[in-house]
Amino acid sequence: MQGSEEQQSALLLLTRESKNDSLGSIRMATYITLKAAILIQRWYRQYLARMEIRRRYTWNIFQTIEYAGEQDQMKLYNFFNALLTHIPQKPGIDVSAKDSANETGSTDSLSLSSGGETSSQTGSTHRSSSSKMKLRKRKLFSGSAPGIDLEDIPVESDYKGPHIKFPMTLQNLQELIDGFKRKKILHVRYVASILRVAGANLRARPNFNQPSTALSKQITICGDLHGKLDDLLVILYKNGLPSPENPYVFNGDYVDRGKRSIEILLILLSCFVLSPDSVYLNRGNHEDHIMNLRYGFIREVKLKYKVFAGRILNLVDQVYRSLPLGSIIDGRVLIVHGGISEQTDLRLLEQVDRHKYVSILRPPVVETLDEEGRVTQLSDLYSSNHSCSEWRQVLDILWSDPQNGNGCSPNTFRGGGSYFGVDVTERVLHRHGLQLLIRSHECKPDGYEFTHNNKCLTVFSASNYYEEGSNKGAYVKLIGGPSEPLEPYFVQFNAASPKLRNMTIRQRVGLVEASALKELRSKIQEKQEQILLCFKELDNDSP
Amino acid sequence: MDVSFGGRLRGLTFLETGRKLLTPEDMAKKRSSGKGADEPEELVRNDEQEQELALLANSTDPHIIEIQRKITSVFDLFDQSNKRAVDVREVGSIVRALDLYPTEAEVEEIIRNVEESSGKGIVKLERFMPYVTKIILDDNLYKPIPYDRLRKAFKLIDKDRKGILDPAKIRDIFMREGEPFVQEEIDEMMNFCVNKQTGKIHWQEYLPKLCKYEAPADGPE
Repeated sequence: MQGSEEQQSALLLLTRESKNDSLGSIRMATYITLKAAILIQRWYRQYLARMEIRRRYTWNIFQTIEYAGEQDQMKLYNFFNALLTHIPQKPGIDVSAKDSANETGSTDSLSLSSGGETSSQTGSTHRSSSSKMKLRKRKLFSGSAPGIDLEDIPVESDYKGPHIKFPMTLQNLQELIDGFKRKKILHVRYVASILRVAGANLRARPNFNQPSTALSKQITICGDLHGKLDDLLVILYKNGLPSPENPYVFNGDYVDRGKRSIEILLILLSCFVLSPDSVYLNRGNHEDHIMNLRYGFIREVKLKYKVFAGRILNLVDQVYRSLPLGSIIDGRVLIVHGGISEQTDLRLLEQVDRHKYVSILRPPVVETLDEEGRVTQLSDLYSSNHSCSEWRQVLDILWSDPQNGNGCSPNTFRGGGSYFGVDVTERVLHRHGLQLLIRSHECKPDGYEFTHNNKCLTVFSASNYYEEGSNKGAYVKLIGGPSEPLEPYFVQFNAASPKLRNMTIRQRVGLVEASALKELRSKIQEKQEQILLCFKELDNDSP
Repeated sequence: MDVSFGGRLRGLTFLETGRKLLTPEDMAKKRSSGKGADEPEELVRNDEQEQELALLANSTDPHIIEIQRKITSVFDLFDQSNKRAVDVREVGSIVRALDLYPTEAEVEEIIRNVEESSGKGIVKLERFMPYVTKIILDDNLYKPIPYDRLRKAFKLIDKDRKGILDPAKIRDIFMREGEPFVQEEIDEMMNFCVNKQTGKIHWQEYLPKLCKYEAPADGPE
């Protein structure tokens, strides 16, 4: 075996090196170099594979911790909703919350948590709250409120942040971005104005945006940002601000986790207000009050806006409800935050009244209006079957994940939505005459990932999501036109400190790994007693 | 009207790689272009082999079961939704994680044997498992490279015998010869091999450090 392969390679060399007529020793030397090169390449690829494995284990740890949290949320909700459906009562009962003008932050009724955000606390409220469920009335105000209107609050003389005039101008936008770069906090009156105007404009949008590449011949799609302002700034710097020649689709999850969520939200909404036909915003599963309670957005707003936080968050809720569920480019490319399921029916989804989904995790609500058309009450429609299947459709769009292989099953990892397989993508796309599904929702090491025979593309724009060095962010540009093929072009980036760039894979992997292990260790410590109990139960040997 | 965003962003680094999707053609390019790497064997599947593989799949030998457990755990790492299936492009990493050292051509051969014939780029565990178990059991296949051989290989490339290599030359060799590296592989190699001060590769120093896989990540400067 050895002999013949060496002879074979030598022969190849001889024919190739026919020009180089020199001594056989040169040929021999080249040949040896070749063998050495192959050996080193083989070894190096092994080394890379090892790093990849370590990175994956680390990823697993982070992702499991992340989704376990979300799963808790879902399970709790499923529990409460199941409980509610079994209590005999008339449909349309008031399930509501306290007036949030006085209580900043804790607006949810099903006594999920008194503003608490630790997983251990959620675990304990799970049991005790069932007896403590309170049904309270809630007054929802959409503009006028007891006390001064946020937009009438005067600007202090020592306010150094950006000033916004309405209608907004490009200059305003640039000042806004500049101000945020310099870590300024936007004055509450401007925040309120932006939220209000954007909310009103968004309300007028259909459930699915319909961007077109007819004028621009290209379009940019960004994934999860999760409060990482640096990443958004990098994208806008590299790809330019939105304009009719440079349209954007933002695919949800603007807030939570990162520390600059409100800034991102304000920038995106301002871009939208300024250029409504060039900015298409989709709703993500984190555009949801319940998720914000747990994953940091509420905390951030309270920190930055103190007594005004409650009212600002109310306005944010209005924006959430008005966000479209997805976008369809040129009638060919479907963009939704999570994904699809076997049941996904876009025609049905187009008819849904999306505004009744205050939180996707709750069954849809029905508003009671007073004579002046202002909303005075919100009530849940959980007893209607129709609204249940409709609700599931919306849940699927915002929470599902793709999987290898075929079939469609409930997404137990997340606790909501589905796992959709290759065939599901194929069928759903075909059913609606679409060519490609673009979604976000999952962090990917390279910032993007094509699956399902290139029919399903995941785009994730928050770099270093789990930890510095854990992953790149990316955005995708579709280049072409309505009657031409749309070619995807990817741009990856890493909004991180320079020292990270120069680290080797091994160092980076090691860093992220250490961080994951640290998190895992703290989780274990939290649950120490329970873990020990489990072990004792399973250990038959010791007394 | 291209509204650009003036000013440099301090403290932010940025790297653009308008990278296209790694197509099967790209993967084929990674393979040797006939410059002396081993030609893959033509595989002929026959009943005898099928039987052998089936036997392996149902074995109760504890040694084999242990091997299968390892294969499953690595496989699962790449199998996100517990479908017992992975993308064909991951086969190389999975096999290498099991302490095997195949060349790219050999990985291609493995793929040819385990990929689902439906052509959707999927590899199922039920086919992967017995095939790879057999490889692991065979003591001659894709075995680790002994440290000395590796050192010898470096020595052969280092014609001047100085223990130091020139990055430009290395880049040239590894991107042309054997089973060429793609841009990312060579960039990463340069990143950790090249001494920042001298700009050269001090392979004699690095090699012993690199070969301690289980060491914590500190890496050469």
